[in-house]
Amino acid sequence: MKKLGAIFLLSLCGLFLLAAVTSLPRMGDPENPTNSLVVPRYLEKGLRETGCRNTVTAILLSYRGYDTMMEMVVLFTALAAALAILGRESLETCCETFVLPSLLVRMVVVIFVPLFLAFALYVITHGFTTSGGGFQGGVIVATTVIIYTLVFGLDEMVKRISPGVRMVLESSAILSFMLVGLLGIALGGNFLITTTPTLGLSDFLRRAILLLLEVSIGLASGAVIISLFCLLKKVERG
Amino acid sequence: MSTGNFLYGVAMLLFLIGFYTVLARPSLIKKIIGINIMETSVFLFLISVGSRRGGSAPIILSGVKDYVNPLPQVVVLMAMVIAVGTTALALSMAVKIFESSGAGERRG
Amino acid sequence: MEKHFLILTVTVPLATATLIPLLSIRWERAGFWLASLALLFSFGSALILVGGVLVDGRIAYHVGGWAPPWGIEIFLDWVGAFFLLLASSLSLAVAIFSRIYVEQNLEASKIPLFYVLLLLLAGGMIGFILAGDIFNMFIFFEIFSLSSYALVAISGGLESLKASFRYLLMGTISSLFVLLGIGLLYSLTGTLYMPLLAQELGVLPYSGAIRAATALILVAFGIEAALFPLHVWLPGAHSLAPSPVSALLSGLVIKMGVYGMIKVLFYILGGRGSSEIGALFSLMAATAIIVGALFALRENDIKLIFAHSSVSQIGYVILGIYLFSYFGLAGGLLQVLNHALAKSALFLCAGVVISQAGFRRLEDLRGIGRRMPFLMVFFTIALASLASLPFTCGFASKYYLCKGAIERGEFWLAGIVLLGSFLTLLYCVKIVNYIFFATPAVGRGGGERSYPEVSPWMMVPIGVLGFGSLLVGIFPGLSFILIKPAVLGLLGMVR
Repeated sequence: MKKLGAIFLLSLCGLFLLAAVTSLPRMGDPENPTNSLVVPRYLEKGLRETGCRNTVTAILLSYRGYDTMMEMVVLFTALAAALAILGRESLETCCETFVLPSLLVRMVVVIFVPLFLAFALYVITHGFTTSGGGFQGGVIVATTVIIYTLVFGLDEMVKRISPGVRMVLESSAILSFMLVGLLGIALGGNFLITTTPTLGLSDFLRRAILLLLEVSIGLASGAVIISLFCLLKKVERG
Repeated sequence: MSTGNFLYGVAMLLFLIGFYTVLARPSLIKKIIGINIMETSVFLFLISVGSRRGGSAPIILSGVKDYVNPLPQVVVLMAMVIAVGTTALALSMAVKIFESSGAGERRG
Repeated sequence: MEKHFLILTVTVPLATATLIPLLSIRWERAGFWLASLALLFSFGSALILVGGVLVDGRIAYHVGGWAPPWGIEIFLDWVGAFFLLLASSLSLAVAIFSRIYVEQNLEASKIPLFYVLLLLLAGGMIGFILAGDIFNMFIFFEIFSLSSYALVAISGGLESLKASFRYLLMGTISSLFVLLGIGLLYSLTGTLYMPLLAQELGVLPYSGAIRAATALILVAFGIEAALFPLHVWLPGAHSLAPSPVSALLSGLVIKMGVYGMIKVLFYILGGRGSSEIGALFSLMAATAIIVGALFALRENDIKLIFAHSSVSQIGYVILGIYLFSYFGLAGGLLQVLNHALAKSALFLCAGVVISQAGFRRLEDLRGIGRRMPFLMVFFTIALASLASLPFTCGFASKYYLCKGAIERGEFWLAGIVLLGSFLTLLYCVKIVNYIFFATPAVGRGGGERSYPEVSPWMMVPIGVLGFGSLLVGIFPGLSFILIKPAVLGLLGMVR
């Protein structure tokens, strides 16, 4: 019965979607409105206006910086929500019976963790010129820490990156966006105007502000993902 | 239907598969997986909307004239972060439900 | 300087939310005070902004100084001002109410998180109201949805977790529908900025893609607004959430679905395809009015009654919007105001009763009106407004809805509105009868139950909401300062 209902709903939905697909403009056509209406400005002037070779980063941090700030709020919300449901992580570590894996595995992880972290740093800081950026780097940081945790146990990880530190990092991105935004207002422009050339800030200062935003996005998204992992891991351990 | 929109059709098909999983499967984890399939299909659709024949990645280099549309990529990046958040919340709820209702009962 | 409040009213609550976990390590009450201050700031700036709208009609702000469609614009017009005022005042009232309620009903470790989520919910809704860019609107939609899922389940009971999970599933499907709809609109027009999107869509033929995008987004907001067959998540989520949260969810969050529908129908589509959409949705709304009221009549749990009643009342709002006429829209917006004030007052009262007396079944409420007279007076005012007695806001809204329906020649819709009001009156009378006229319940010891004093922290927000509901009912002209230009503005967008 439930399946029949589902199939009925799906066919209804499918009809609408089929009608949509057949009447959409041809994919990849340079004449499409998606390629001709708003986007040329980003591609033609993005480098000059924001100093980012990577247009994705230019849009992410400058043209649509407000969206990015709100996206960090979404991540923060998800964390707060998970905490509200699973209960707060205690600030002290607790003893855990954990069997270390073999020496080989441990050695590989010990050698590769610094390399991964260096790669993450590269991805975060070079988001302006090549593909990469805050989120991507943050996720690499988080993955590295998760690998470390899986091999050495949750307590070892918590000893190195305490929940308190993570708590500060988690709010860092939103607060630095807020700070940069308020700086824009204080300098007499609009919120977040500090990333645009209109205010006449020097290129160096603007690059520094963008870097601050990029790094704080990386740290915050990394910290949130690590915290989410810890929360779920703690429950699994019971 | 023009053959060029084949990829759109694939995305929509994936969307429906995910939707079916959410609707018809009783297991909470499978429902979450279904939601992830739906999310991914929307990302696929958005990315293919931004494509441009012969375009290269939107990193401005001298000598390259055509770039793909960077805006859908930004949108997908943000939607992905949202998807991570939603999945994490859904998983933590599912875990808590299993915990409170006893490990044996994994349906709800 | 005034224009900066447009962005600060969104960002201040959100940024404050991130500070609460840090500060509450040292300062136990940080959550309550910071949340109240931030929401007070939002309310104050909302007042300033509404003043700006009264003068200019539409105020816009380019975030980051980039002109749209390249950057993001946020704007406030008459419709937005109406919703903004409602959202900021109601969330402030709920935050103040929560102080005592949360201390009595939640674990100490969850209290800061409660305020964090409350701020995120309020900030998310305010941002959603102000968004001028359709993707920006989607992000705010996610912020307030995620925080409301968590707030439903924050007390940690298995039933509320299950209700919250169902809410999450339907909410996520709805947000994916919105995202897919946005993708379709983007691929047709190449922009995400609403006015330009509307302009570009206006010159395109009404193709299958536009129809699919409209259907996806409207169904998605229908899920969020709990429109009849899509409402299945609502009774569980709204009745099992902590009462202040229920008040916000019923009073505001479902209205955001309505606001999203208004945005799509008028700002983006410009009333295109209104005949086919209108016929379907007014049928759904009419069913919602009757079915919701019937379910409410059958229930015995006071919060479940109110939750089912929300399904019925939101039906009126949606009916009004899909009439696409002056009286219909005015009645719908008036009903938004009426339901927001009355239903949140009712849920807060229910919260006091549940928290002080410890029960929620109607039989247990017998004679409670003599024990908590002040509280129950406001409770009755709110019930009267819900049941649309004369001299309440509910009466005015239903009057306009009937007028709108008759004007369109849809007499059966006017009949549905009257029948729905009659059924609402029935369950309201049933509740009042239990509260005031039934013999008081007998406590376990054999004597009459005694109730502790109601704290002013709880009484004042309820009083303000009840008084506001009364004021708007006696002087409906007050709300028309905003509603009339809002409706005229919306109708001006119909092509």
